[in-house]
Amino acid sequence: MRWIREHKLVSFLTLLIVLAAGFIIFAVATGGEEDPAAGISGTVFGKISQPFASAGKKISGGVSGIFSYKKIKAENDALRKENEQLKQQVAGLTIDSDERSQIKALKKALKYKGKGDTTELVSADIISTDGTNWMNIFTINIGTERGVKSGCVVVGGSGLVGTVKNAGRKWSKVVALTDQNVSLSFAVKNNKRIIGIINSSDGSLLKGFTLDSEATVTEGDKLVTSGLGSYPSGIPIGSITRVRYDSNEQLQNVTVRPAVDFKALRKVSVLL
Amino acid sequence: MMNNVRNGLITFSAAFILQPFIHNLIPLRGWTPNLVLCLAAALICATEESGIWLAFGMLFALFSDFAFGLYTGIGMGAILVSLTILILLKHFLVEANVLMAALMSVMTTWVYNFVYWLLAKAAGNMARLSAMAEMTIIQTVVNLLFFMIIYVVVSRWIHKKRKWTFYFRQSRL
Repeated sequence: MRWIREHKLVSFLTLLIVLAAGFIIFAVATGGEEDPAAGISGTVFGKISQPFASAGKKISGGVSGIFSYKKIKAENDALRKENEQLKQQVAGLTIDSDERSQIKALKKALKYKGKGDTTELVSADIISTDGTNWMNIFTINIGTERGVKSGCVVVGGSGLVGTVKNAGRKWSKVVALTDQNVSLSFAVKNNKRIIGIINSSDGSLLKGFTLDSEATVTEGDKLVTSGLGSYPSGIPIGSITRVRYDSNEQLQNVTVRPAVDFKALRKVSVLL
Repeated sequence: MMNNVRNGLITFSAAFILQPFIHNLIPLRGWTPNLVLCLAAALICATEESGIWLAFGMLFALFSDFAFGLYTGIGMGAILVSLTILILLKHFLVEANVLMAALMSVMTTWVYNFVYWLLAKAAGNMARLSAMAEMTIIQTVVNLLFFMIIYVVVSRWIHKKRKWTFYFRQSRL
């Protein structure tokens, strides 16, 4: 004890090294599964860092607007025109309340169920990533308070992003498709009868195979989730960049570039 | 010693809190510095004390793992290895040589990312070494910028303090 008192720094460093070793062994053994210390700490640190993340975003949004004034103006004009066209379309498609209640009654009578179990979509901001920039793991600002739990599917503007790995009260950690052992069933967008499985990734591209080794798929074909498994159907996954027939395994292998640009991602939605 | 603890707590807390701020402020691919690493490395290069900055670096790397990372402890392990190598190489540094300090910053960033990649790979992450190297090239530039700012500021402050101590303390004696 006297030695520890006289060598406080060395003792503290030794303690930190032992802690580091313990956490690393735990992380490697569990593959990143939630540990209780991370859960509580994540809530505390998430609360501290969130206002600064929002401040950074606000400043960035304001400053970038100054430099891209012409582009924003052109986009605004195009959106205004589109809005007018859509308003006219909606006026033609609107049904009156009588028809709506009749349809509701019919649905109930026939016990109609919608496609997939997922109905609610909650949007979230990405607060931060881990400190490396090359791992597609990021923290979002919603958690169990809004119904998010481990395993929830996360989508971005252009397609499938990944799944929630850990969730705290007001934060969740999302792992991208490209950063985990993935097993995902896909269908070709233009021909939903061609189905396959994506079963690996090499960090930036996804790899898989079609169930029918003679199916006609070409580079550039867009893939969506097929609905088989834990992902709802119809979510864009990416596009095929390479098709190769493996005569040893007798499988038609495909390489897929994800639809989402993970580096430019700022906002995501979680399917509850 | 207590001054260093207080100063370390304030500066490292600021670096930890500013990390998400900087990430959202600079919306470019991979252009986010690792502020805790930059601060710890710059303080080790600029000051005589190394142990205390290593301890703070590890502690706040652990907090960053809790808040932002998926694998707890991996950032802490990576910063321990990179800063230990920096401390060992520091003895060969010419004091107040900015170029050497810049080289140390580059070395620290690469060692940190490489060790982080190794440990994450062991934990089951699928990122390729080439993807890591590609983003590390970009992060090296950004880390170097923040490292040099901190290094120059701290070096000047220490130089001023030494001058004051030399002239005023001597005269009082």
